[in-house]
Amino acid sequence: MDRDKDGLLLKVRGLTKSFEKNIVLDDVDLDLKPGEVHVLFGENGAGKTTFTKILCGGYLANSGEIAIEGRKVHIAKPADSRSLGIVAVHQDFSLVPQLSVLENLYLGREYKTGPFLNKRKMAKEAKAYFENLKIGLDIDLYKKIAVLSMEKQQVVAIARALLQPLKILILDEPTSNFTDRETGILFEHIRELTQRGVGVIYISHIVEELMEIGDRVTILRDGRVVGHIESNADITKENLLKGMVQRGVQKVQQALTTDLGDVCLEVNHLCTDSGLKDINLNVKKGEILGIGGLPDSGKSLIGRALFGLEKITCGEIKIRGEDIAQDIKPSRALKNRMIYFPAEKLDGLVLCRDIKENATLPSLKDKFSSRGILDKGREKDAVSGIVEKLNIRPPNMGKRVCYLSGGNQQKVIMGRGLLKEAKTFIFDEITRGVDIASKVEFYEIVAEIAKDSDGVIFITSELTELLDLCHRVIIMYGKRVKATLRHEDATREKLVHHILGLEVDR
Amino acid sequence: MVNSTVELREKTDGARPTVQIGVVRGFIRTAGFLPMLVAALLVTGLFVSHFYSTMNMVNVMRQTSYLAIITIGEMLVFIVGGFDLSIGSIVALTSVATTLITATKFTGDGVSLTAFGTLGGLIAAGLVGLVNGVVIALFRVASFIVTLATMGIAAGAALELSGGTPIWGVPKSMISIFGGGSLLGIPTVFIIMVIVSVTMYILLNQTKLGRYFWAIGGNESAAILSGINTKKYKILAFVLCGLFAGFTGVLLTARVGSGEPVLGSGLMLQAMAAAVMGGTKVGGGEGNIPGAVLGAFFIVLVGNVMDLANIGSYVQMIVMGGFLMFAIVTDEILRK
Repeated sequence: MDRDKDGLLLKVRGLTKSFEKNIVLDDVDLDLKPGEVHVLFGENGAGKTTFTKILCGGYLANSGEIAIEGRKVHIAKPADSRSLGIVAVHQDFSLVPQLSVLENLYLGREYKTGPFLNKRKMAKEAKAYFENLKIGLDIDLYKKIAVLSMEKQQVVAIARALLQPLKILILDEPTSNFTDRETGILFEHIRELTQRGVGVIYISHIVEELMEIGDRVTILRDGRVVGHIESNADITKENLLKGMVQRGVQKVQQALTTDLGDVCLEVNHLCTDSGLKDINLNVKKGEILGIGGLPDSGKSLIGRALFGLEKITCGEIKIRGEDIAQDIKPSRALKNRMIYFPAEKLDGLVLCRDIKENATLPSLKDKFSSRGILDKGREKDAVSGIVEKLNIRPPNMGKRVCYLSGGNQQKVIMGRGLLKEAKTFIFDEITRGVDIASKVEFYEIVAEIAKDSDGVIFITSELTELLDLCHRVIIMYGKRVKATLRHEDATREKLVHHILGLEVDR
Repeated sequence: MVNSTVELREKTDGARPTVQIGVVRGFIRTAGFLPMLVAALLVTGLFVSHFYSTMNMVNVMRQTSYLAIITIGEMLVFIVGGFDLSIGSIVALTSVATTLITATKFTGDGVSLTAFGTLGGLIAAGLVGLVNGVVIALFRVASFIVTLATMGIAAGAALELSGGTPIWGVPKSMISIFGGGSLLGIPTVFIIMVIVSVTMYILLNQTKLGRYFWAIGGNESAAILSGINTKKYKILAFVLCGLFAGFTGVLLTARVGSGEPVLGSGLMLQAMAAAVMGGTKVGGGEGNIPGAVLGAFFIVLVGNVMDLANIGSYVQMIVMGGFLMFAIVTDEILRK
């Protein structure tokens, strides 16, 4: 391998990416030496995944340079990235569920004899490979991915990556479904690769792992590099936390209402078949309850379960004293004046229809129609009030929502809640992918809504929002409630500690 | 789990139009290419002898009416995100069922025979639609497969019930009401079609039901989050589609004067073509009544003009296919 004088495997300079007005990566530099494990560390939304997706050809950067072994490269599509020797295991595994393990392992680079697949050769190689890998020995090569456990899917995803010739390996949360034994074996393989000069970009929230495997760390926050750790010995909890808790630019400036009423929503010992275990929480009139945690901590499941989108196996959901857990579904929840705003706003919108129709969809029946006939005049008046109140741009209720910006689309969904005259609100990551100006607007709207509500549940991965917007904060870890903190007691350090699943030991 | 999420994000980024669109383009965007194609055909008609004769015009009106009614039904299913292959067979089944009832002549009164026959035919049609809807909505099976199955079942039932041959016994009054009748020179079926279109236009645009249809086809998860019982409305759309196909079957039976087990065999493809050319989106959420009616008009016109110009039916098929392809591709390009 010939390298330029600085001997870097990968050199990234000034990488910038924005979605519409929202900057997700801002002037990021990164050096990867051959044979090192370089950790990317930061909160959700810090830009780690965007960074790796650019390297893999999933996104195009707006500006910035990428050089591999001293040679400037242009990565426009996944094939470019692969031909440069960059191989990634993404969080979502990127496997085709309908195909077998073997078919997935060799997808796009099948062995052939003439026009036919050489299945025997692939199977033989794969079998030998799993034996060498020492994990996943019991995986049936001919089983479909869809029927495998998450753990086995993860093994397959990693195996697929390692089967390819590679120079740079990107691992995004590779151990999220692994036991310690499997993690240990994976680390052995990583060490073997680095000895051969492969560079590894490693993303994980699990501090112990980083201390064990990481050589250097780059800490990201709000799309910017905010810190470096230059040697394995310096990778400590304290240093990682220090990087993570440096306060960002924006602060949520909302005076919290102090006069809270009685408990209106109460959840006792709630379990779902999606994994939530023994969830207990309550929300008072006028209160904003924040829920934070890692992506798979179960925080979003709570919102979904309360709105009847998850199968509930035990426990109660009491709204104003009445338990509705048994027969909960969206229409029932709406009837009890509870409304849910999904994390993926596209789930909530009918893109090809206009603002007005989207805003009134849940309240057509009880407010804007009689005997099935629409009262369009009333609808128009009500929606124009909402458009004005929430400052929806363009202020044209006949505009199809697919032409609106992300922030305005989110406002349409919020308007839906106001029109429905809901009393209990569940917001799930409503500020994700929204520019800073709109975020501030949202905070105002949420605080305003909370005042006369029967309680607001605010699910978010942004620490600032948990700290400044919420009366109380619940931190989820491993699908359980890890901690509950009051606004006065919550600090960035404490929140990060709980989010990472660490015990507070100071 | 597949890598497609990345591409999806990129697409929505680029979906917002930044350039000012021209007047012509804007018009095409809202109305589609169809009005121009229809106008072109009407002009072509000037050079085709007998095209503008009263008899031919009445004929075109009739044919358009049959096709438009069945197209509106198919469009409803398209709007909720479905697909119905069985409508052609439903036409045949209805024709046979209706005639089997009227042929018994259990009452001497032709008008009440007509009423019972129509009712019986519609029940048969509605049942097929109900089976389609229930299986698709409750068992989450692809509508393509389910309606492929019911297409076979309904066609087979029509052939079995009729013994494979036309059944005689359509009452005279039925033929005179639905078949050859006219009011002030306008064929009765045309008037019926106008009534159906206006009713459905109101249903889709002025009622809660219509809104729910759009929402379910546009984004089912958004409809569920809004507390809408999406299964119920999907079933309803399929039942309505079956009923419209059945009604077309009754009207056609009255026109041909017998119960035909192979009636309407070409209607399914024509109805789909008419709906799509009229701006209905396969996949759901978009469609409009004037477009569907105009689409039906266009398809009838193409056939009619070519018939009169002595162009053979094989060439007609090629031309029709070409128009459909053209309409879909230009629509797709203009949307971007």
